Amino acid sequence: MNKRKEGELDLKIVLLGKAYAGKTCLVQRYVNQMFTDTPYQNTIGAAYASARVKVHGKTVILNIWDTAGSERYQSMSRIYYRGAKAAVLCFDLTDPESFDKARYWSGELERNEPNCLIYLCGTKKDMVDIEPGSRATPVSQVQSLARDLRSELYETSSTTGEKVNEVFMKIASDFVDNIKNMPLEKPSTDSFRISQPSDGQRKGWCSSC
Amino acid sequence: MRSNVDGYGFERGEDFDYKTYEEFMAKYISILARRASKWEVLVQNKTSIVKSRKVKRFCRKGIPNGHRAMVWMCVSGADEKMKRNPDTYKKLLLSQKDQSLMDTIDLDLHRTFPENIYFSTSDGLRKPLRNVLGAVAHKNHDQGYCQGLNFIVGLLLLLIKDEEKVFWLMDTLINDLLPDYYNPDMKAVKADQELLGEIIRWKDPEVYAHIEKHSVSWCLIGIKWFICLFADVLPVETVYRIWDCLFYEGAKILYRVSAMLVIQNRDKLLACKSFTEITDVFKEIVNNPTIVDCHTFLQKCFNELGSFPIARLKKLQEECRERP
Repeated sequence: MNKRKEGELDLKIVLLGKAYAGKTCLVQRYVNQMFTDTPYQNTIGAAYASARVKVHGKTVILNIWDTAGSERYQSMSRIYYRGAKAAVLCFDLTDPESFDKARYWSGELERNEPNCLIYLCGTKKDMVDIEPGSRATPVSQVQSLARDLRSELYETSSTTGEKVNEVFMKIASDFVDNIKNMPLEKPSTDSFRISQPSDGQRKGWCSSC
Repeated sequence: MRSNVDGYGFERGEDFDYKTYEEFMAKYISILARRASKWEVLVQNKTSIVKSRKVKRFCRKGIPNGHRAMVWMCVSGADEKMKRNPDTYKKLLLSQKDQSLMDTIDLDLHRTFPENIYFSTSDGLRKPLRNVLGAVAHKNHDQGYCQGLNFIVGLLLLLIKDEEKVFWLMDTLINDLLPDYYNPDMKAVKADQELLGEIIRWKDPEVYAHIEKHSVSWCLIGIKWFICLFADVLPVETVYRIWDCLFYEGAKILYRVSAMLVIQNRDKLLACKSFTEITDVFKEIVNNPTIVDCHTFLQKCFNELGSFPIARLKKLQEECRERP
């Protein structure tokens, strides 16, 4: 990562989800633009990666916090998601408990970080493509949670790269849109929600189905 | 010809810095030989060793691989525990297992050192890894299994093939040397991140202020260092050298090493202008040449940090533990 330049915007993104949901793979795929076929290691505490993207003429530095999924580290997660502007809630499309955990995290965020935008992300899409029966949670149920959270819904594959860039680009562009719409003299985080797209625009939005 | 696998079975990545490593080894080999001959005199043909100032000094200067298992077992107290409880490990292996606990452990087996030839296949050391992690978690049921222990047991098994000894070393680490570290609430280990911050504030206030200014939390920097005791963080030989001290002295070496990692890179850190730059420096410093040269690094940890009085550390630690 190069030195930071003037006028660049910082955006803190946190990844949350059950152990083995594929959070680290998603970040690695996005940051390195490749899937290494060696098996991954578990994340201890949190890992950190960053990327620089250009959207709507603005350069945004994505500060991505990849958290550990194991129950044990749950009590530490608050330290990591504090102040995040966006959260990617990852769940393994083939693991029902993984979706329940995403639901848990959404509640936790709504309570503690109400200004954080949520992006629901079903991972391991390639496995569902090969074996449609392996899908653990009906699409309708996932969409319903996405609606409740007014969240975007993506189905990604870190193996093929499907929709991986889209998730992060959407996060960056929502962020820039929000800043543009924000009154300049009052750049407090309280005004963040005001400029969000209305319910109607977002409802049921699903990029992959 | 250069091997792409190191002496412990780790595959060297394409970016492995052979030049730095070979320059270091050329020097280190004579240090190793000198230490080995001194240890021979000390150990002779004995199968155990008693703690003393001399042994402590010797541990700080590095234990030869051939003696590591015996010395770690003796100075940590694990040997005595094993002798007092000769059936414990065997019984734990045969006992009824908590299935959900074993499922959690199983999820991590193939995620432990996938780049090591002894762990990359389902034979090799994965079964001993499962055995030891399962036994530790069942014996210490309140603590259960904590992710990160897999890396510690993994590195122990690479050196000590005897599962029972590895089990007792782990039991001693968890209960005696680092009590509460692996408790489900993680309070002790979280407080020690704060303690690292306080040590930096005490030893190098300028660096402390700089890191605070950019809101880099100590918990982001240090959590894996403390949970994994530097396994899977620093080069493996450096980790074993740290553990030579850890099994003798306990947690204090963790503070010294982490403080040194921060302070010896103070110029790089002070030059950073953002959060991102600071975290990038932390990613780089755990692999740079000064860390590969484990001998010099350990010397610096003891010689360049000034005094580390245990009373002051304890007081700071208590303050950190009381924070919300």
